[in-house]
Amino acid sequence: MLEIKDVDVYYGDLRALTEVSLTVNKGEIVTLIGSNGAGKSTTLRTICGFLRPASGVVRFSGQSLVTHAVHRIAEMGISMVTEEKRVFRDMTVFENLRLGAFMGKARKRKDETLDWVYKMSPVLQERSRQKAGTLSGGEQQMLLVGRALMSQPELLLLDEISFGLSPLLVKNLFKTIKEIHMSTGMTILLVEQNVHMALELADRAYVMESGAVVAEGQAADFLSSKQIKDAYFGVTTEECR
Amino acid sequence: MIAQIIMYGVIIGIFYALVAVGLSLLFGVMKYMNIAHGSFVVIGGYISFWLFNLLGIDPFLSIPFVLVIMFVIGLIVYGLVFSPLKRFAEGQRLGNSMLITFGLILVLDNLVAFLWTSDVKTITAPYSGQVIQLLGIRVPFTSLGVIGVTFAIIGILHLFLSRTYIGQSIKATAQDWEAASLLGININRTYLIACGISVALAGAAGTAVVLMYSISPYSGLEWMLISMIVLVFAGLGKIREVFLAGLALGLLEQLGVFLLGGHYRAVVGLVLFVLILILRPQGLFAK
Amino acid sequence: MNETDKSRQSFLAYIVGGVVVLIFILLPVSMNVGRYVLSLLFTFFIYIVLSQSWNLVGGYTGQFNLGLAAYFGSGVLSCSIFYSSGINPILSLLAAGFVAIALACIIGLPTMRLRGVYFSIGTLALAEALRLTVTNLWPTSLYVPATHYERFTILTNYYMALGLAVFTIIVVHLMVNSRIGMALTAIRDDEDAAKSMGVSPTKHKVTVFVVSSFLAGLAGGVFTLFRGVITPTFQFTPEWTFGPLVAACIGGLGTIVGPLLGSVFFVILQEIFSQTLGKMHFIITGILFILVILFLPRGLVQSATTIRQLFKSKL
Repeated sequence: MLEIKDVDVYYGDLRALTEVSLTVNKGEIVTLIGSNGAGKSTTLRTICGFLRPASGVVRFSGQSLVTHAVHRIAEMGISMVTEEKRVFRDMTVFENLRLGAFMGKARKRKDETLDWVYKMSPVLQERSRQKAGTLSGGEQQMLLVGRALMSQPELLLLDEISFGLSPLLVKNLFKTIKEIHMSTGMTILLVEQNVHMALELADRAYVMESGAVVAEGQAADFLSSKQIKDAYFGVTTEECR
Repeated sequence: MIAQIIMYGVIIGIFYALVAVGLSLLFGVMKYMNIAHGSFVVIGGYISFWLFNLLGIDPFLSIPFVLVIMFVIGLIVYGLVFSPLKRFAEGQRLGNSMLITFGLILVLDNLVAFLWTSDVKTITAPYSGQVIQLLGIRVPFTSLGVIGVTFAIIGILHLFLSRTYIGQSIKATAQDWEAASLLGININRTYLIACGISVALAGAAGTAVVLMYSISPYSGLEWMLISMIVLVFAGLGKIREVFLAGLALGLLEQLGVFLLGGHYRAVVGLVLFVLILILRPQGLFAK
Repeated sequence: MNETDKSRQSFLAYIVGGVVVLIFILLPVSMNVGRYVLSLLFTFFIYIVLSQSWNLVGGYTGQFNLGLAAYFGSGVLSCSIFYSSGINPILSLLAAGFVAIALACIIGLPTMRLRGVYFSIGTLALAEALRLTVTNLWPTSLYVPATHYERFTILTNYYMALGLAVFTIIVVHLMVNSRIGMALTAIRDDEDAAKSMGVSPTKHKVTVFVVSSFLAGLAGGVFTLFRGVITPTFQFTPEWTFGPLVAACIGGLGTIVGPLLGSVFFVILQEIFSQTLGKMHFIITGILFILVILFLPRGLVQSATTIRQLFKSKL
């Protein structure tokens, strides 16, 4: 469904991605893991169209994405939840969700989707008249996921959504993601600091290091791999405790 | 006496809110400063003037026409002036938007002078001299009309921004354009519409100006400064606070007129403005 | 570019500058150029002073001062007042510069705390407040003593303006190449970073602001001695900010050559078009200005450098 091949991305003169290649098949959950600055978020921002690859191919359902504007890529069915808590603070929870269904085909079915999102996360329904800026960090993150779901994406990109949340909230958030995946079969590409959680959720995983993909494989294999454990789990599992 | 200061202060204050609301919208959405805002106010005034003089259309009824014409002018201005600004790095856009709209003042003001001469123009409608007794104070009929128009326009703007998808997308873009574009909102189109609305609002304010005062080609600066003061009182880019900020300026000015005399009306506002800039740059009403 | 190249280039610049000044000095005595050309050149010199003054703040600190007219106008007004009260004209002229400094300290310094867009609209607002106040206090024209016209011919005024222009360029050159100039560039590029390196932005900004005001005030004084009769309110209008601003931007911000080039361009353009189109010339100037900001953000100077580099790469 999503195919990235030999993509190079620069920030000015600085090379951020080097020949990154990865694929995400329909119905899969794929995770990108790696340390800070490895290029995970850069990869997601490239898919969304915020960054233009200097060379390489980004294709979604057979169509090239590299020349399209961000909103066009969103219209093609890709939705991203960003790492900062970027809710529209001065708008209510309901208004935030409604804007999620801005695009034509999602707008037609927005009432159904809204019911579904509220069922998935009842707290959003309770707070629907509240300004989004007054929600707690965890609720804001849930709102961002809900807003992304309102657009009924075919591919959902999650960029470090657990960042800054307590372990319990992270657990709940991942449970919700899992439920979404189970009930809709939505394709998900997940970037995470919390490697353990990500690998438990995902089908497959890619490991990135200084802007390049250095390993790929089944998530379950990585979970039992000593090398990966030493490299990444040490820190993150400590932090979780 | 105090009642009169308050009454005139409120009337003029509400009118000031109408003058400034377009500039506030533009800054809030695009983070551009349009120094030529006052020139658009003047152009709107001229359109009303000519519709009245040539076609006999009542200035209050001409407002819808003014809004439409100025909206189109706003679209053109976006395409020619604001859109190319995206070539600059984000940190340089605000400064360059000031320089460019400053150049726009030179173009627009002199174009207006060329087209319609430098004479001072005002509209004398059949009801222009009439006054209404309100709480024992004589209030010009046109001023009350302008207040009604202001409430109507700001009310419609509020409904548009909070009830329609386009309005909501403008608000969303103002808060976080990256997040908005991820939802499929075309940022360029949103900016285009916001710029059109901003200029249209300036035009409507121009109708009020030509009714309550008068216009001439080089009077744009005066209205730009008033908008600027209201904007800073409200806090840059805050649309809802513009109303309160306009009222504050109107009342303070009237108080200044009472204490120092009419010649110093504008001076009071400008000095207060600089004080606020220095002491409370986030605005009077920002939390 | 290595050091010897640089010093050779600045040496060349001094020679060229010296020759140009010499030409301007000799021009009126060697040729019968007439009143028209002399007053045109006078305007040109005043524009050089004002645009250099504006550029000192706008170009080197990145803060767009939209209230330059206040300092020029106060120079015009105070020179006229001192002169007509019996003080020697040259002393009045100098006093005009110091009045501008005083003004910069009283109303200008508070605005120095403001950054970016706030600074610009703050300076514009104060200049307008001052203009309206001056219009209220001095609504009519002011005259210099009748003896003025015996003592000052157009030639005296010409040389005074030329002298002030040269003085301005030297002052700006010395400032920019001093430690102040380096600090200013650091502040313009990243104020917070400069602060963390121990550079005090406020101190340096205030210094250039005061110097800039002083130069604008002197320009106002020279202008008074040229005109004789002045109407204060006209000298405070924003046009006196806008003209120098346009000249500096068209020429090239943050360079010394830029405002010179821009002034030539602006004064000639204004002269040509005002003969044929009247005030319409502002429309063309405005469009040109917008195009330069959009497509030559560093002004005509930049395009000259680009062309030179193009030639070099061809050779």
